[in-house]
Amino acid sequence: MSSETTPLLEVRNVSKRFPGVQALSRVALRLNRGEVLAVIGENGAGKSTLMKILAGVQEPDEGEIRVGGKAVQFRSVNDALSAGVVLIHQELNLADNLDVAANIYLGREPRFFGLIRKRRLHEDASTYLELTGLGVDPRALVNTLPIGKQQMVEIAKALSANAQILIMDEPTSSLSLHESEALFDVIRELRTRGVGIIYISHRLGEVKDLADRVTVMRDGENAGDLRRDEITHDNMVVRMVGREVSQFYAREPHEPGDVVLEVRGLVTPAWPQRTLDFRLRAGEIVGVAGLVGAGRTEMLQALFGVDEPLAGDILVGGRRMKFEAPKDAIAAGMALVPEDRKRHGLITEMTVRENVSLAGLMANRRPAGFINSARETEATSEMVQQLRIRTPGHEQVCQYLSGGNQQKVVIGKWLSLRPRILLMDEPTRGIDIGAKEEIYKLMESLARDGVAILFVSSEMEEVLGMSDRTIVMHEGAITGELKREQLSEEAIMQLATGNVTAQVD
Amino acid sequence: MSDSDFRAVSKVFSRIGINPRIVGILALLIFLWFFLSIYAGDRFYGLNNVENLLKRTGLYGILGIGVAFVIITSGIDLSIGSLVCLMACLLSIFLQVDYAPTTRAPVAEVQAADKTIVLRDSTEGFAPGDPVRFSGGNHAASSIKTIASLDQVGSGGAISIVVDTEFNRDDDTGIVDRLTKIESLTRADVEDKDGRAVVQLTITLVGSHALRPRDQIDFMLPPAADAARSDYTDLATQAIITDVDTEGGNTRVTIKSDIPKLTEAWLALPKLRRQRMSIPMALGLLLAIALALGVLHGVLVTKLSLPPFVVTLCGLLIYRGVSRSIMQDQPGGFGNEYESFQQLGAGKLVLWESASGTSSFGLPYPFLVMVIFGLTAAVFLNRTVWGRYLLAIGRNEEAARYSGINTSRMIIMAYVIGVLASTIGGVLFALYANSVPPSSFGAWYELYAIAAAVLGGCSLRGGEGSIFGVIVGAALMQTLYNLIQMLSIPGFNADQIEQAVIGAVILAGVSADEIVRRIVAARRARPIDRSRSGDGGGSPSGDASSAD
Ligand SMILES: Nc1ncnc2c1ncn2[C@@H]1O[C@H](COP(=O)(O)OP(=O)(O)OP(=O)(O)O)[C@@H](O)[C@H]1O
Ligand SMILES: [Mg+2]
Repeated sequence: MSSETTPLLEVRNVSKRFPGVQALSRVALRLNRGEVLAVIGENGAGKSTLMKILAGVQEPDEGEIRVGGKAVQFRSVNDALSAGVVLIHQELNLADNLDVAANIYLGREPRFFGLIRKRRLHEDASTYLELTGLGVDPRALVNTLPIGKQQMVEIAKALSANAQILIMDEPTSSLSLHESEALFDVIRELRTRGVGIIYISHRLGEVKDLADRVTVMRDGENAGDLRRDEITHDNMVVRMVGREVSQFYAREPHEPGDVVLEVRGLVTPAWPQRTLDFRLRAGEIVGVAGLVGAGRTEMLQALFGVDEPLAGDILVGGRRMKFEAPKDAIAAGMALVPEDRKRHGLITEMTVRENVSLAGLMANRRPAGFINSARETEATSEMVQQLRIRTPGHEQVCQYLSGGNQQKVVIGKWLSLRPRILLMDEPTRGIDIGAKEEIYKLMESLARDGVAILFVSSEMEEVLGMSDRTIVMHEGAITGELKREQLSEEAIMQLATGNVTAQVD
Repeated sequence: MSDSDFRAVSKVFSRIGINPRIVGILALLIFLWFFLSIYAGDRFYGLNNVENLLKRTGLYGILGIGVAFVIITSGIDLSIGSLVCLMACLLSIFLQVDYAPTTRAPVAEVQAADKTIVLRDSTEGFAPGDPVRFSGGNHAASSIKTIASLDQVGSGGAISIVVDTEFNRDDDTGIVDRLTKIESLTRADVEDKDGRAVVQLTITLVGSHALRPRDQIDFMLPPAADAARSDYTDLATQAIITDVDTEGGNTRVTIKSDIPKLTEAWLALPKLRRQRMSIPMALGLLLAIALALGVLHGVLVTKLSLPPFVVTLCGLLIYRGVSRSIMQDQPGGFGNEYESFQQLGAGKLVLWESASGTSSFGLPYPFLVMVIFGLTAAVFLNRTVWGRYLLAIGRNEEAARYSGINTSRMIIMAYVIGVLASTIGGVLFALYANSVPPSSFGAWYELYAIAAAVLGGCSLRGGEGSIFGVIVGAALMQTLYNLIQMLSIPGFNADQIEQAVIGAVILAGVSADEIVRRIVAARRARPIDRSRSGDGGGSPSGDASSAD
């Protein structure tokens, strides 16, 4: 194939095997200059593995990679960097205890006789941060930033490396609409400069808007390419999943029961000026919408006893509760699927079984504190099946699972507890469209059984599709509450940006 | 070795209960034994040598297991050596023994001319005709006399003793002990338990005395009736009673060895053996102290968020200082007061004995204690909810907290287990050594314990550890020590070079382990984001957190 334009990047016959898993088999891919190529596929399809190979993080078992027509072999991330390939990982990868600027220039600090030039560092960093269009202070410590802003730091870092080929592995999974838009502007800008961009996402709407071409993967193999005019929801889904999946999940609303959770005048440490009041009924699914940093995560954390609220009351089943730690909230029948799975959700070095069973270990114990391993295995099998967790076995260490499957393990841990009140923070982050549907079905059937669900989501479709009622937050306060019939994207955005205070009944 | 080979091999090891991570050091240990048996065959396999090796493995193994729990929570315990010393010192204080005369009274006044001693309070047990000894007065002289009569003094109930002869001078302090006459004394030739001929004394004391075996008798020669100096006393000798029984109104005691100059003319001062507290009481008290200190360490680490290094470093200094000061730098020990209890540290469970009875082989008790402690610890770590919690906390404390684990309480528990192990170790070391110099006892032990844990597969980053591995680690270090002693390289003194060699081998061991893991990891092509944070952990077989 000797065309007049050599592709910027070409991949042929790349295979990669892990113990028990053929992650990639003879995969091909090409990327042109100034093109946005979306790579999609189910959880565990091999997307991240392929990208890690392209960025020199892992080596392929076989196959060929050409950059600008020249065959290359990346033995390290630095090899890939010098060929102009930069990867933004699916899992955030920042040094927690350093400030933003130091992270952006980690290992490439501007120096003067071996000393780091702090001033220069901060100035340079802020130019790239401005490019991302989101106000992030270069001096802020990374561990004080919410996950969405951390994502922006990753992007600024990649920009500063002057990438020719920029690979983003699910960059928007922790961004809300607003921040995603800012990112897309950056991507379009880079495209006009001739940068080739590979973009992985499970949000097919974004893909439709952004991609020039789509490469679909399934079970570690190529499952077809789509040209710009072929990119439709159905085309993508059929190639990914092999069957039709409805774009919106249609719920049948049903009558909620008694109030199970009531929050009165709750003040979280993140927003000491604001108070929160709302109620949650049994069998009700309530979405919490808002921009990144609106205080939604902080609210869930205060409810779950992670951070002690500064003031206010939490009533569960009419009884006033004082949660000093998550264990107290769990004892009251609550569960929280946290936002940051790597930090709060998973023990990544432990196995699928150990993670799924962890929260219920004490409740299921045998006499004298012995672990009930039969129960452990049973719960794991149940969750692996129900959530279709793709793993070679119960004994697989979670760090070797794909991102979406890790998320399913976290959800499985909390579902196996059979909570009465389920708090979920971005529950479908990084989960493929087929599995999302499964999780929605599960939420639905839990609600039908009387479980009250409060879920935070930055995905508009999810909020619109799933909630009986939506709470919208802006700068730490609840700016409005929308009933199902009042729900619309505009109504949510108005409240989320603090433009209107809607009627609350 | 391909991945599948590796997985197959590690599966076999896991099935027989050996964590694949420690296969390397286990192999090294077996190799060293093999080498030693060829190089130093008879000496290495000498029964004493093997017993010694087992004993030392047991003693250090216990400390290693304790610190493993702390290391699993990604903490550290540097106070182990000082704790061993503190507990050993406390044990020797708690079990201190003294011997008190059966009838003793403090003196208010001695009226020399009136031959009278006024006692400070009313004391029973003195009767006319009894010999008494006055001692400890202002002039530090003692004299032996016989009671002529007793009088009541005033209304306070105190009595005065009138004796047969005058005192040299007045006095206003001192004590009086009642002595006992010897009714009869016989010597018999017997065989001791090793078949040697010895003389055994049987002495009948006048009157009945509440004596028991292991009480003590001082013998002294009374002044001759015509002696010029009536206050002359000859404190001849002491003996431990081995047997007591009564004969009419008198008490007959048996003494295992002869006191050649002893005759019926001498007087006896029976003394009762007094233990400060019983052994179970002493151990219970130590346990309570250990619990308190462990909780203290844990609370400082969790509630105050102090670094474990700092907390236990301060412990190292404090416990050492406290030990030295409560002992006033004098060595503690048990003398020969607790021979059977000391067996726990120094004795063995005999498995084989030669026909002549001259040599035997057995498992030293410290080794058995370690086996029991180790089994309990392994079951606790791998089979109970709390063990799993500890492993989870070591990996990701935040995620563990989100999962409803009371992380502070678990970490406190780990420190308690650590101090408990140091206490058990301290008791056994003390019983074994029977001499506890507070300035040096237990010094460096924390580092040996940590080294054993690290050699045995505990990651200092936490969340990983195998009890069996720690035991193998301790055995490896003791074998090395043994090796150095036996190699006797000219120009090198074994004791002097020992620490350097052990240090170097540990360094080599953990480096080799890390290199092997890197190779395995590279085969698996693990994502780089983990290795960037310096994490080389993670078991290749997928059972990272399961120990032996
Ligand atoms: N280091 C590893 N060791 C073992 N198996 C691995 C490793 N990395 C990935 N895998 C397996 O390879 C397969 C592909 O994983 P990959 O992360 O590429 O999926 P993905 O397409 O990115 O999925 P997701 O959408 O969930 O992120 C999965 O089954 C995963 O479990
Ligand atoms: Mg992925």
